Amino acid sequence: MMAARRLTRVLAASLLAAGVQAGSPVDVQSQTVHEYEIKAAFLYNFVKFVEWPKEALPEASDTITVCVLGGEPSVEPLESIQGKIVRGRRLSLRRIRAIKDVESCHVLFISSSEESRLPQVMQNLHGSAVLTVGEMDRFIASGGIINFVVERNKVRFEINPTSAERARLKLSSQLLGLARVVRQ
Amino acid sequence: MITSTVTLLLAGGAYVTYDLVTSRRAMARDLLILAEIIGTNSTGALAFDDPKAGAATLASLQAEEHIVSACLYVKGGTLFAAYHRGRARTDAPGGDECRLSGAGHLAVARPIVFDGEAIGIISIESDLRAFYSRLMRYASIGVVVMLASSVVGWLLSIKLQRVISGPMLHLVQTARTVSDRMDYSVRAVKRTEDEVGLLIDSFNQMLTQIEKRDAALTTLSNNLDQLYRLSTAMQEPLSLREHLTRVLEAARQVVAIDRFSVWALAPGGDRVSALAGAGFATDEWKDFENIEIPLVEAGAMYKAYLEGAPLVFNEENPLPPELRLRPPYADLQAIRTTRFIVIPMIARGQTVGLFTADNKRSREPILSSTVDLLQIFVSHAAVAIENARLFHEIEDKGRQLEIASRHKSQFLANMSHELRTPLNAVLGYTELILDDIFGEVPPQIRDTLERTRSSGLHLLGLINDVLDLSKIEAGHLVLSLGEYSMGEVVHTAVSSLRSLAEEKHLTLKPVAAPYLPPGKGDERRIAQVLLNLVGNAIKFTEVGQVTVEATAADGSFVVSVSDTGSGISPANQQKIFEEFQQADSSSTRKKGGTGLGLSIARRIIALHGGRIWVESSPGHGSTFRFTLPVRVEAQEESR
Repeated sequence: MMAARRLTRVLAASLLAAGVQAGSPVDVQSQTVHEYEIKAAFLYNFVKFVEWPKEALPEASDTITVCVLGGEPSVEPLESIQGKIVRGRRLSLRRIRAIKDVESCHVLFISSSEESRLPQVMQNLHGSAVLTVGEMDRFIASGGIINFVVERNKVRFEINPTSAERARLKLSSQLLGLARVVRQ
Repeated sequence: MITSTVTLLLAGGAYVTYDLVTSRRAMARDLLILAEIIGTNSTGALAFDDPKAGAATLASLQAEEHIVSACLYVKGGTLFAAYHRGRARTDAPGGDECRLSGAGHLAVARPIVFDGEAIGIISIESDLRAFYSRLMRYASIGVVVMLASSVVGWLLSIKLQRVISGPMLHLVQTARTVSDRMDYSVRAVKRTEDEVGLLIDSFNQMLTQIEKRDAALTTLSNNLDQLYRLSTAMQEPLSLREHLTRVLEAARQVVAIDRFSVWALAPGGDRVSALAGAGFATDEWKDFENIEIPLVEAGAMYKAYLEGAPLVFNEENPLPPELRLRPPYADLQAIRTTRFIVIPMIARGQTVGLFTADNKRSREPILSSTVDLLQIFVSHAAVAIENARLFHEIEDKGRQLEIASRHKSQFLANMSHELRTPLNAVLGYTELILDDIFGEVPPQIRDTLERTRSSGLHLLGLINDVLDLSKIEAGHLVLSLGEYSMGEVVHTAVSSLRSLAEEKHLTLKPVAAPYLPPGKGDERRIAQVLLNLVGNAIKFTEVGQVTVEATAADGSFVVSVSDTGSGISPANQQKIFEEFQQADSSSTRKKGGTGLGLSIARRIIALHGGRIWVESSPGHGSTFRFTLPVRVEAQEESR
């Protein structure tokens, strides 16, 4: 019994050490981290919990394009996800300005600075398999899929599964479990 | 019972151990799977830094009662969320809270890997309550099984005992009875037809065989015993009648015959008389005593005597009327029967008697094997009769000889006395004449007278010797026991014979041990023996010396007289101690002497309880030696 316990401790210690060595993109526990660093980490993680339809993301495709619309210069930390690998595909971050550019995106982050253009963006995206992520109160109501909210100084998010279905995206139940689900 | 209990215990123990080890392993595996599931479910919470969601996920472990605690760590080891059984949800656990609880718990930890990246660690700790309750369950089941099987085993053994152990124990008991009592007639009782029954059958068969052999051995040893007794009986100094009775009794022990009788042929061979019998009642036997039957009237016995072969009569071959005894002997009951045999008793080719046997009383036929056996006894009896007859003859002759010898001794004693009286007169007057009592004797007459005296003295010596010998033989010689000194006896003998030795130029030396004990005996007779021995030594030695030596050892004097004479051949060494014997009869004339000296010496020494013998070889001289008890308290029986 003692031996088993000691073994478990050793195992835990080595795993923790491995974790440290692997490095961490974001330290979610740190209170000093900038809001957009957290949002960058979330974006990266969203990609992990979402499945795109095959026509939007073919098997052979090795890149997932994450587009960022607006928000200069505060969205600068989002650059940190550039080149990260998710399920064998590289994340490619693109800053876009023109609404028409959104069609080539797999993920579209719409900064709060673009609130005025939101309806047009949504209009443009209608039916395409793009995971839209926003950071404004009306985003869900406007047909966005995931919306960042800051609650008690913590970054959380809301999800609209209906919009996700419309975009033919499959969201992980875990993702749904963590989000405030808003149905429209 | 114990064996099966131990087996049961071992098997049960092994099974329980195996099962517990397996179940413990399974528990660990289950726990790992659980950790995997919880870990996977926690990836979102970890990814989106939602400890509350993590805690909620962990709280789902409430369903698993044995989970004591579960903890989520982010990379780098910081506690992210924790769950503790029975405690309110903890949103922000302290750093120490997820310590492993300790003994009696099982803990696992797993990395949480999401999309190839380790994003955290989950540890789950379970108590071993399930494990222990399983153990307890097994223990109680084990006890119940044990008790149940013991009861069943006990019941079975009672049943089996009746079937197997019962007969076995009976068999063992029987075997013990047989060996304890040496009674091979005991048999085990067979109750079943199974293997045990077969065993009992074989055991009984074995006993039967042993019993048969035992009986055969007993018979054999009985016969041997009888034969042995018979042969020892023949050697005992008993009367012929007793011998025969023993032989007949011994025969009756071996063969199945009612009565035996032995008829001896009277001297002259024309009559027979009953000598001995066995199996007769006392009054029956009375008819036989003091009866003599003329052989020609003895019927069957006479026929057997004439034919020299056994006659056997039985139912089919009855005694013909002409062979029956006729009056006045017809009343002899034992002979008036149909089952009857007569065997002539033949020893050294002579028929010495007749043997009869009958089975009148038991009416059993007399078997031919019995007749064969009886013939052995009969030959023994015949030898006994013959031996007895010879012994009687020898005894008679011995007795006659003894009487004659006694008469001779008496005659000699009387004669010697009668001879000595006139001889003493002759010698006395001769002495007187030589002493010039009747005037001076002329020289030529003196010379004649000297010879007369010398011859007279010699004659007197002879007569004295004969008288001694006849006294001894007649048992009239009585020792007059008194104190004496052996040293003095030796010296006296030597000094009285010194002149004789010097005449022949022989050296005569006495060698007496310096400290001889004082003796008790008839000094005059011992001196007589010594004088005789030394006198003989001088007489038969021409050159050299005569040595007289006396020592004492072990309560006896040892006196030896050695000479350097011609010696005595071994054949003569015994003879010289017998009456009227000298080593060389021709020397009697030359040396003189009666030949009685050594015979008398031997008897005197024997009367003292001593022994005399000679050690000699021709040409090397002789040594006469005698032993004599130092203290003779009583005279030995005359021999």
